[in-house]
Amino acid sequence: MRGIRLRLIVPGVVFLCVALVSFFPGLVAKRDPLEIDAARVLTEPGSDAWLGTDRLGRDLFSRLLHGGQVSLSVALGSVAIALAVGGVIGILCGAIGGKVDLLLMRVVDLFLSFPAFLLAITLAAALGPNARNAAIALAIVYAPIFARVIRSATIAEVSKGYCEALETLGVSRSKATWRHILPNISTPVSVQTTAAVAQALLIESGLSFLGLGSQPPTASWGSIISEGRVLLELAPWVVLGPSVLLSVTVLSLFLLGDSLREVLDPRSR
Amino acid sequence: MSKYLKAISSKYLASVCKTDCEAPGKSSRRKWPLGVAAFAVFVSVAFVPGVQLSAKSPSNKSGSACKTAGEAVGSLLCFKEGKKLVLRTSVLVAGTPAEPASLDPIFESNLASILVMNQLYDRLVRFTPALGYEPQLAASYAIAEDSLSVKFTIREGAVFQSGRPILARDVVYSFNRLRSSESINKGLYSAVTAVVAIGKNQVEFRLATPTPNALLSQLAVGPSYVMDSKVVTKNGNLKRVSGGSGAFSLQEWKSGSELILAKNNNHFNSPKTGIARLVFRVIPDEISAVSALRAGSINWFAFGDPTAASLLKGVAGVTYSNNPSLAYLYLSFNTTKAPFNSLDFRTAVSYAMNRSEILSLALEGRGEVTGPMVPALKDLALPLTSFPSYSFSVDKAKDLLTKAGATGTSLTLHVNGASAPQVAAAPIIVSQLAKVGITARIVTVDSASWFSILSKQGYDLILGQSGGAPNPDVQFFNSYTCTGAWNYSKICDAAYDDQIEVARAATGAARRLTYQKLQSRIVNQMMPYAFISTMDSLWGWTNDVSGFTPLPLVSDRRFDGVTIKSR
Repeated sequence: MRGIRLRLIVPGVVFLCVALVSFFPGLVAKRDPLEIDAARVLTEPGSDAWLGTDRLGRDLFSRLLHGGQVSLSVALGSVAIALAVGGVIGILCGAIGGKVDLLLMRVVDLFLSFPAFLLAITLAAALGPNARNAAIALAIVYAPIFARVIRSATIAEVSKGYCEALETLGVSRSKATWRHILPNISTPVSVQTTAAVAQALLIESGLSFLGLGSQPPTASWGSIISEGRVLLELAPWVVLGPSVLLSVTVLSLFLLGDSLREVLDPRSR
Repeated sequence: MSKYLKAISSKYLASVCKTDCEAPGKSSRRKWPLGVAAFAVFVSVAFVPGVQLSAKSPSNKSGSACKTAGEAVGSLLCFKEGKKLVLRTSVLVAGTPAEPASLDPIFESNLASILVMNQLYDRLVRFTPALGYEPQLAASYAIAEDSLSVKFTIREGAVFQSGRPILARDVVYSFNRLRSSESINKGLYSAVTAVVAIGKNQVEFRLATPTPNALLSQLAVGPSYVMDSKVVTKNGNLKRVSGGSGAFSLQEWKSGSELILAKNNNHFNSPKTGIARLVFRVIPDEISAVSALRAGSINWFAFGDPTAASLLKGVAGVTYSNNPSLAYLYLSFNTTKAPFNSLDFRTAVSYAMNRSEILSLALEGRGEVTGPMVPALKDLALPLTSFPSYSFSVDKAKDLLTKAGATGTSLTLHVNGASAPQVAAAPIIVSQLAKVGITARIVTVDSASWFSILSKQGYDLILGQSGGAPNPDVQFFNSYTCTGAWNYSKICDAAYDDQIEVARAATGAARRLTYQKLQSRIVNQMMPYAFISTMDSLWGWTNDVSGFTPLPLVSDRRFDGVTIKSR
């Protein structure tokens, strides 16, 4: 049990630290991420600039943290929207069933038949390149996934004896769903959520790398990597920071999801 | 078993042989050692490393060299067109950052299309590297004494790619098509009143005003190509076919990937051109172009990003070239909207821009700060000290913004995502505008949407670039007159329109003086653009390419006269 707790705490703390410095970058990064300084172009990492500077002399440490704010906001925001929309669809389908389930699930299947990244690229390109539209595109990609997961979990719960007992006792279906089914499906949903945030973070970075996410001069991890790829031979530190932080964040989220599953579902131990 | 095989073989031979066939048993027994030997030779040549023919199938349209006899035979098998195997050929693969939208001169004016059309079509005249004129399709030209017409004599023996001789009436047809209502380039020929054929090989351009130099300059750049009327009639347009007389003809267009051109052996410069096949491969990412040049998978690329281009310095087998060009970067205002219709606002933006910083950071100093006329045209260009708003001053910018009632303005800055200099310069300009209280949001658009946004005024500010022109007669007329074909900012100043006609017709000192007055008027009284800096041409090509001459005019890149070593 102690091992499981450790596996839960370590990635959780790592992710929280990344989120903390990203949403409150002023705590550690004192320079303006947009400040151009011709005298500091491509400065190597050092005491003056912890992660060095880019080709416009902008401080990379500051850009990395402010970029994290954009990347994490898009990932968390899109997953929150997807969870809300997909959750409503999944519960409706699972609890009501019938033609509503049949119809909505075919629409969900339609979206699931496209590769997630390709669908995100198509939607972001169609909506226009900016961070808000990238979040909308990601929400559209992930809503069907949540709908599927939540529907399956809801159907499993509805078929259990306690739901029949509630119905016999005259508890309304909506009340039973809200008070009893929802708490019982929280385990698969929370695990799915952590995995979805990690994947959304990767896709957001991909979109920004391709110029379909946040627009310059606003930084995001993907856009910093994109700007730095031409400098890979001359100034490798430009891509190093965002690449490492992106990997660490995604890894911590996946580990957190795994540990959550183990803690919340004793059968998986 | 052997009886069964014998029966089958005799049946087969009986069905194939009509006459002169030997009895099956005897002939097969005598010839099988020969067949085995032939098969062994084929296997050894085809699959043993080191046994290479460096062969190529003429019908292998991708032009990739066959390294072994096996591949060569494979190519022949793939393209059963009855063509013989040739041992060596010369293919030049040029990278291009964007795919042409089409190849019809009346519908295109963007650089990606012009780059390919330059190879497919000839103009009557063209610019020399020293920016003088030299005949191309015309053998000679003569300006009338009253300067109201120019007569061209077509080169003897000139033929279209179809083999049809080029006659004066084809030139008339081409320019009537370019001046027709469906042509997006019709405005470029507004001074031409008529194009008339005189006999079979002479054509006369008649002008409304005595501006023959402006005409020659216009005919030497852009879409002034001579087109084959029969190809247009047959296909309806020239969007995806080649109907010209250029050094190459379009053989295949693989959408989104590459255009394959074949050498036109009827071209007048054909003997000097050592390229059998010219391939334009779409490579949107410049860092990928660097890798491709290093690997030898492409042979030529024109760069926009100086950082990417500089990675080729010192690379074995690749030539890196950095040449001054006439191209320049500018900020254009949409003068149909407030507050951009205010001269004070536009001048404030000009004061807010630190041009030297933009040049240094975005272009790594590869260029010069410029006004309306690039410094290379030194006989005509005014010094920058003539333009007060070109001296960087945050205080003056703020004062003018207050005067214009435009403090705290928020605006969009459109950039073409395919242009590395624009993408690099945009954040610097946004940062500089922020210092005077202007909030600018960068909108990156793709090449396909760029001209639509320009022509429909769907923007506030545009960070654009121009290929430049050796002669201001064309640039100054088309960009800043009320009805100019390239007047995307929609600036309109009647006094300027009157003066430009005088400048275009003038010669010597009068011409210089009038153009200098016009430059001053453009910056100090009109300000359609805030000019930034020129941009050097950055090239990379593999060392097996020879004869390529980098011209200062970026819209005039040609491959006739270029040779690549056979591989």
